[in-house]
Order: sequence, then C-alpha cells, then structure tokens
Amino acid sequence: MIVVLNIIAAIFFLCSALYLIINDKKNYKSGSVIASLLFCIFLYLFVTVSNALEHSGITDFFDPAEDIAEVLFCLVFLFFANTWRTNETLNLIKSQSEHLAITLKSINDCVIATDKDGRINMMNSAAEQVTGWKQDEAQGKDINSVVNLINSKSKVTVENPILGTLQSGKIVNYLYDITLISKMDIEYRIVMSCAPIRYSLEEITGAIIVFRNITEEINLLERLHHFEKLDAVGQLAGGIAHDFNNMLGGIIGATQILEKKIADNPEAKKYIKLILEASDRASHLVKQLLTFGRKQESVKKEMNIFKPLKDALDLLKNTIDPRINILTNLSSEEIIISGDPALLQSAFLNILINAAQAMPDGGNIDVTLKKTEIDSYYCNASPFKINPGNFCKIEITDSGCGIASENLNKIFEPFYTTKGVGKGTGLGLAAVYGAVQQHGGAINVYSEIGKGTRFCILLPVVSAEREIKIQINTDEIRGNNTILLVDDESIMRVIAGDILEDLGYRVYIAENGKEAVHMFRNIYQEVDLVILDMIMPVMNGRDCMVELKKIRPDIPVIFASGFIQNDLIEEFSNQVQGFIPKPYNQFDLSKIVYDALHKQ
Amino acid sequence: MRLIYYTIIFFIFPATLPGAQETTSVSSTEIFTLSIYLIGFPLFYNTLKSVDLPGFMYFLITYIFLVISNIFTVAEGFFFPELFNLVEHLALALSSISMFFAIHAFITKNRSPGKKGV
Repeated sequence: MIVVLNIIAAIFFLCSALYLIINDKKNYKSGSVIASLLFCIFLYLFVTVSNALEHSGITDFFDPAEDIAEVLFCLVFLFFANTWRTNETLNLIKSQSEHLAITLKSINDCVIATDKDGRINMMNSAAEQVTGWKQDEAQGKDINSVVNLINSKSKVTVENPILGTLQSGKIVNYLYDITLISKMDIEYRIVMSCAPIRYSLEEITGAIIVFRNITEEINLLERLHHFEKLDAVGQLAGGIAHDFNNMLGGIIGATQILEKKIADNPEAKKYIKLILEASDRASHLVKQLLTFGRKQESVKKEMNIFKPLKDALDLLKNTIDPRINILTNLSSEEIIISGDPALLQSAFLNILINAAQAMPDGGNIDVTLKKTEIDSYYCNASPFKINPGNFCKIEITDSGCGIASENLNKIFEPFYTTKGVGKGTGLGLAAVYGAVQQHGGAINVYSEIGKGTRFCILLPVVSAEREIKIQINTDEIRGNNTILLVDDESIMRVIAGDILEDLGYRVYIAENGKEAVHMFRNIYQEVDLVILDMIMPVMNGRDCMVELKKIRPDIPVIFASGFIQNDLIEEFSNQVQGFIPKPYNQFDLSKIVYDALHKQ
Repeated sequence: MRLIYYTIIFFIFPATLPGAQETTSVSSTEIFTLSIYLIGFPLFYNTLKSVDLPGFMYFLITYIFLVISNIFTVAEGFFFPELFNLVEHLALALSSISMFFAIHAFITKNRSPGKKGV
C-alpha cells in the first residue's frame, strides 16, 4: 500500500515536472522561478522514489538523503516564493512606471520636469511639440535654453518661473502675456504653472513646469472681439444712417416738389438735378452703411446662388484690365439659398472689384462655388452665428499684392480703405460683411503679402423656392382719399404731407403716436389710411397701430421706417397693408398708398 | 504558542506515556525537518499572500500536506507506527496531486481557489 502511494506520488511529481518543463517556454517569466520550482519537484520525486524502493525492499541506499532532500525542498520552496514575489513587485513597478509614462505622454498640456539645478530630466510629447526639442536633446539641458519665455506685449525676456520655484519652493502661475519661443523661432502664447517636486517637506528635489499652448484660443478671442467691435460699429452706423435717411427723405422730397413748382426755370432745374444726383449718391452710401449694419431692407427669396455670382462675374469681365484672367469653377449643382439677389450680386462684385484692383499688372482671379457641409465643431469655432448644416461655399482668390496681416482685421470696418483719397469710400467690404451676416452666413479672409488674397463666403442652403416679398417701383398713382400721416421728423411730415397732397390726397398730420390716437378718435370715419413711422418718441408706431385698431379695426396702416427688418415684416404682415423704407420718393409712396387702399 | 502546544501534544506528551520508551524510534533529523517545515510555513504564507501567485492555494495545500506528512513521520515513532506511516505516505501522495494542480494553475495562469491568479 505504501509502495503504491509512493509510486502514485512519484508519478504526479514527475508529471508536474514534465508539465512545467514542456510549458515553461510559453510562461517563462524568470529562470530562477522555474528552476527553483522544478528543483522542488525533483526533490520530492527523489523522496517518493526512495520511499518506494525502501518499502518494496529493493534498497534503502537513498534513505539517508531523504531528510536532506525534504529540508532542501522547504528552503528552495521559500526561495521560489521569494523570487516570485520580487519578480511580481518589479513587474508592478515597471508597469506602473510605464502607465505613468504613457499617462504623461497622453496629457495634452506640456509637462517638463527638472532637477534641483533646473536641468531638464523629463518632458512629454506635447512639450516636445511646442518647444521643438526632443526629450533626448533636452535631457540635462538648462531649462532656460529650452523654454525661452518673453513678455507677449513688451517682447522682453522673462525669467523662467522654475528657477524661482526651486529657490522659494512656492507654486508660481503665469496666466497671461507670456510667449514661448520654440527652437524653430515660432511664438506660442502660453499659460503656465510651476511647482516644486518634494520627497520630504524640506527637501526640494526638482520642479515641474506645466504649460498650455493657447495661441489658437487667443487668436479666436481676438477675432471674436474684432467682430464684436464690427457689430457695435454696425449698430452705430445703422443708427446714423437712419437719421440720414430721414434727412435725405426731406431733401429728396422737397427737391422733387420744388422741381414741379419751378418747371419753367431751366437754370434752377439744373441745380435741382444736381441736388437730386448728390442725394441719390448719398442715399446709396447710406444703403451700404445700412447693409453693413444689417438694417437694410432686403428682398429675400429662395434662389440659385449661381445667378448673382454669374451676373457679378459678367459685369466684371467687361470692365477689368484684360491682363486679368478670371478662372471659374462653379458647381453645376443647383444650390438654393434664401437671399437677396441684388444684395449678394453687389457683395460679390465688391470683392471681385477689390481683387481686380489688387492686381494692377494683371493676374488671376479664381472663383469657385460648391456645396459643403459645416459641422458643429466649425460652427463653434467660428465668430459668426452659424448653425451646422449645408452651406454654399464661394471662394474668390486673387494673385494680387495681398493684405498685410496688421490690416487684415480692419478690412471689414466701415470707412477703412487703403485706396487713395476719392478712390474708395471704405464701405465696400463693410457692406459685404453686412450682407453675408444678413444672410446668416460667414466670411473669412486669408491673405499673404505678394501672394494674394482669398475670400471665403459661406451661405446657408435651403431646399425649396419661395418668394417672401417683392416690391416694384412704378409710376406715380394719384388718389383722393384721406390719409393720417404720423411721423416725429418735421421734415418728413412736411415733405410726405406735400407729396400726398400733390398726389390728390387729403392729409391729416400728427407728430407722434399719442397725438395720432387722439386725433383719430375725432376723424376715424373719414380717414381711409394711416401712414405710421415705426420709431417715434412718446408712443411708437407699433403701439399706435394697436390703439388705432381698437378705435377702428379695419383701418389700413402702412409702416414707414429708416430700417425695416425682415422679422418685423413677417410679424406685422397680417396687420398692416404695407411697408415703405425711408427715404422714399413720391413714386414709391404713391404706389404703396394706392396698393394699401385697394387691398381693401 | 500553537507550535509549542502541538509540540507538547504530539511529541513530549506521548513520550511520557507508559511504554512509550519502548516504541520510540524517532530520529533527530525527522524532528529537525518538521521544525524547518513549521517555521517555513508562515514565511511561505506571508511571502506569497500579498502577491498574485497563480495556484497559490494549491501550493499552500501541497505545503500543508507535506507538513502533515512530516508530523506523522515523527508521530509514527511514538505510536501507531503502521497507521501513521500510512497516513504519512498518503499525505505525501496527496501533496503530489496538489502539486500537479498547482503547476497546472501556475502554467495556465488560472485563478486558484480562494486566491487571485494572474
């Protein structure tokens, strides 16, 4: 029985040994681990074989060595356990340091560690990228030779905070106005923080510097501020333009009346014509200002963007220097947008004219039109308020003189021009900017001195064609109805009143909404139409209309304003019979009055 | 304390029994070997309990069977020599089986019962 048990034990020990030998190649971790384990097994294999021989009566020759083998087993087994533990601990340390190294490499912020003398002993990939130094090159180098810092504004060299940290043991933060100059002399705006490395409370063994490249963010912020400034200027320009419109309305109206009254004086008519021409030019300027300020009334309809672009190109081809080649790559796909064709054509023409003027010795103008999809990432990064979706992309590239980077931010500002005195108003690109924004789009410009300029316009694409509003000028139409004219501008009251009377209408005039309501209570039965200025003190046009409708719900109303916005048109289109933008002439006024009266 | 207690129970107390002197044939090397195994047990256990040795529990069982085998080697010198001798060799056989499983777990990196493996 004992012999059998020993034989079984010997077989299992032998199998264990063979199993270990066969498989140790796959699982070989450490020579001493496997060897000690194997030695243990062989010791007990020896013991069991010796026992089997002894109890079967063959020989007891190996018996004295059995106890030694057993003791040896115990010791070797302990050695095996200890070796395994050491290996495992080393593996754990190795994997932890690998994990730490990978984590450090994966950090998007730049991390550099130095010893207590400020010599670099570690830097991560982000730091390598920004500084331009590789870890191997920078290893052991002084921090100042790798991380070269200057003040962003004064360009004066700034002492590396790591040296201060090493001396004082305090955390130092540089949050703004710091620029790092890389090995390749590229400037990066950064924010940085520097902290000491301590193994004990007293001893500082080094310092760690963490910094982030914020160049993109700073640029974006600057662009955003610039566009905000443009918006503010636009608001201001729009406000001024509104007052100018009122004044121009007065001048044009009075001149037209005067023209009729002195029809028999050709000398005077000549000057009147001059006044009207100057007023017309002034009106055009105001229109551009309003476009920039996005307060110009636009006749938006769903249309193929190809047409205004093609029209602008055709117009340009006939007027530019023949040495300028216009190369077009316009998508054959029908790209429908909701927009004002005239406004867009004017915008494209403005850019094309600028492109042509940038090439006095000839060159190429490339015009491309294609449909593109804009994602949320682009929209978030854009200073324009655009939403993700399909856009048409119009790129106009010239090979001209280019725009200096310091001027690039100013080109959309109203009255900014690099052209000589009298050659440009400085409103062309401002109007383009306004037109693009009015269409819910975005405009970007890229330029390099001596190489050229590229304007990239994005306009949101729609699917179906639907006309929102069409307004057509016709010849003056006369009438004999009674009209209540409400306007806070005395010039407009006088002029519009005279025009209407001249057209045969009977006119009541009120200075503001409150006076109009008061007057209307007495004459509501005889008034056929009310012309209301939208922006007035005391009571504005909107409130006045509500009050008038309370007195007589079916009274036709026309809104007049220096800037009529599309959202306002949509809001009141069911309540009012028409909108007339200021400045208006007698033809426009007669037409809209006639239409409003005959809508009844 | 337990070691002292079991030493008294198994070795000193039986040796004082009447007629024990006649049956005692224990050698000093057997007692020394047993001492080594008993001292080695906490060392072995403490060394490996904190690390993930694949098949740790099987190795532990193997070791325990070897300790048992050694205990009965000593014990058979005092009484029930045939029975305890059989138990000694049975423990040795069981330790060999356990060792095989320990090697299997060690090789295949499977989890041993009650202990995490790699």
